[in-house]
Amino acid sequence: MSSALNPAWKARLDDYPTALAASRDGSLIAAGTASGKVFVFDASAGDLLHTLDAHAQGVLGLAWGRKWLASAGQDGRARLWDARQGQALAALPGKSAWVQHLAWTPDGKRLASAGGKTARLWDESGAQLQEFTAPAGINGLGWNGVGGLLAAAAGSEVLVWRAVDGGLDRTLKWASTLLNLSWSPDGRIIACGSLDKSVHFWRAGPWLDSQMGGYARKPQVLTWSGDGKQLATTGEDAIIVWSFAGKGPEGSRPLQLLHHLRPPEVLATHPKKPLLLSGGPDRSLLLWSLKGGERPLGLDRLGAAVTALAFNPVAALAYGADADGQLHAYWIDSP
Amino acid sequence: MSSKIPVTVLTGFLGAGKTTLLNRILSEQHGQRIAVIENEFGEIGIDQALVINADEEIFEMNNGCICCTVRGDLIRILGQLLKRRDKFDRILVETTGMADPGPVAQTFFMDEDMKAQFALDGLVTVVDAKHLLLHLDDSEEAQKQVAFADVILLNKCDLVSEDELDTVERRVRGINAMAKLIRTTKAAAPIEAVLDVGGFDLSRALELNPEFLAPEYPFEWAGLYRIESGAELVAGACGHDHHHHEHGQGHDEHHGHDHDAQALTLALLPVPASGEDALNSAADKAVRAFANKPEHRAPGSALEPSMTPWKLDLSGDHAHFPIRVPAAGHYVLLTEHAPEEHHLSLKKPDGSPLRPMLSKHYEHSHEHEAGVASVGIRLDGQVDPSLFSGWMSAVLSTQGNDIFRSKGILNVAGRDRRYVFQGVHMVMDGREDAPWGSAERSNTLVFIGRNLDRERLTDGFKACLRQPA
Repeated sequence: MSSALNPAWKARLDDYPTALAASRDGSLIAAGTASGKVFVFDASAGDLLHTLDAHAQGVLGLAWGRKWLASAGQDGRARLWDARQGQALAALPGKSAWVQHLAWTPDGKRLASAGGKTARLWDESGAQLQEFTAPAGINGLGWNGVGGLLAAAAGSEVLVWRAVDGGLDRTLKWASTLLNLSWSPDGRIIACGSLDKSVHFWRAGPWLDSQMGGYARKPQVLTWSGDGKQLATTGEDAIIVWSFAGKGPEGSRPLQLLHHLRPPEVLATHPKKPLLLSGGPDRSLLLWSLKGGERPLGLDRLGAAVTALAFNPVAALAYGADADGQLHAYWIDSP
Repeated sequence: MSSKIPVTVLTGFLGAGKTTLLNRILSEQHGQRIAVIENEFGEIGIDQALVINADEEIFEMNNGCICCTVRGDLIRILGQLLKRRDKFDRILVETTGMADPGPVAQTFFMDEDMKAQFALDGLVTVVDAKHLLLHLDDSEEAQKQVAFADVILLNKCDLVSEDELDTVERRVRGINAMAKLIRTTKAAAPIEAVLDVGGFDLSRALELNPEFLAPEYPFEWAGLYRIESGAELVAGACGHDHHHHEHGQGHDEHHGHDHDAQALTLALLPVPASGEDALNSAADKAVRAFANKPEHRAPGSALEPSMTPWKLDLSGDHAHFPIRVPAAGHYVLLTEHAPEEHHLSLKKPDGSPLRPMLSKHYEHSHEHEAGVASVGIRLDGQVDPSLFSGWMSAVLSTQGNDIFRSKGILNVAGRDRRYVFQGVHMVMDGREDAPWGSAERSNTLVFIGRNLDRERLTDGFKACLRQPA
């Protein structure tokens, strides 16, 4: 099998990589680590452009807006950066809780962050627009397609807030703690991994819920395909991909992508193409087609567990980092 | 096991001395890298430990069933700690006084990721000797923290009298018969008694202190006497003083229990010598004696040493029972209720009072203990493994909510090795351990929980024993 993953460049990070994110224009790739630093590279050439001292006790998340990079950390703050210039723009104040979740509106102009039971909405300059309080710790955050509604998984509920006035639009209840949240890019579905080893989801509009069970473990990671028609999840030896095209996924059999020797723990989907990256403790990094096919399009074996993955939304590049702090970039040669 | 990072959980009410203990551990374990997860703001005076504050966050699996809850804050924080280059030797989790230890413990048994990386070493509960009884009376959390503990520090001992301490200790024992109990002032417990206690380590289930193996005795009191024939036992109040006789504080808990004031069960057993050991061995033997059906004795009829207990008819105001012993010597009298409750006393043949050389109070398994208590079962015989696993899963699935912890060592039919098990609520773990060798084989089980029916549990376990062929 000729691999569709061809090494482009490599770089060394200072510690365990916790987050990877490529800029919307495809020119930069940022990597955050457990030491609290954020490394900014030229996405194609791999030159290290800046090292940002982002968070005193570790980076927990990275996300790109239309211009700026947002980072979240264990110091209880989110920060905004002009990553191209290597300059800090704003430190977004929080309480003592770790800031774990970041979500830019689809237009990349407003940022939601969440730590503990509080979510906040900021504009691009770092001015706070809204503050939302959940009854339990927030485990996931997501915007609907147009950015008017913000959803947060908290405890066993999903809270849907209106960005415009900060009001609670609705509460969606389930019986078991929700571990994450992913709102499909087309705004149709809110999906959450549940502690009861299922994926629970609500269809926007009627807000009726349904669930897909049968997992051996917690579905810790969910990610939508760029067209919002497929949902890839961890929680099994294989990657489970549900199709939401047509009437599904109820009553359907999911696509099962089995190649990892141990259950995968990180996933990334391409924002435009039907491509998926997976990685995990078996040290392998795999590229899959979401159109089906039993074998991965490409694979690489890294030096340690794969901890973070990202696609470049513009250039045909994919990125993966391992627990030893090695960052790998690949050219994708996809059909 | 050895590659897993040990986790010690400190519980206790605010002000009991948790932070003092925490600081003591940190200052004495200076060679180790320790991460502290705090749910309560305390003043930690040590720089080298990483201190992380977190809200106690309960993750529930299924409509709030307590047996399925874990602690989300611990999962999140411990997961991040694993990503640090500088690994930790030990984790200390300090919970608030209002925390339920159940989800904390279950986190390390139910969550795959936590189970793979961390080993819960033990739950250490610090209690304030002066205020504990108060807390136990009106707080379910306090009861649970005592019930779940592997180690209980009875702290602030300098603020209460020895008698009060005994009372508190007896109450604590009644709730949790298997924890190691340490009396402290300023939380000054030896570090090795608090860390690496192996509370959830199966192979160390064997290290249960034999004193606690039959934690509930079917009798409340034992006294060692030197008895010669012609002595007699006298029951019933004489005169008019019985409304204001002195009650020990320990008896405050007894009001309301519905024992039959008209009858008292007791046993008399010979012992080879005087001394504490003789008293203890008689008590162990008497656990088996009390399992036998008692024989009725009307006033005036004689009592002899026997493995069959006597049930004395005390319906009259006053009753005398002559004691017949085969030879003058040391005997232990064991009574269902404390002797003062029935104005029980012994007299020498000449009518002068015969006083015990040594006596001891025991925590009796009162039926009225609707609160949190321990049920200990010790029975000889061979366990049928399939009957046992059927019974145990039935017990845990129906009473798992109320059973906080369970532990046991079993003599399984046809096996040379001890079978040890332990559980937290519905999660249970068991395996074969050290060979019996020449040790006397028996079965020991301890359940700690709420509304436990001792008799039903005992009968249920009895039914798992193979009948001798």
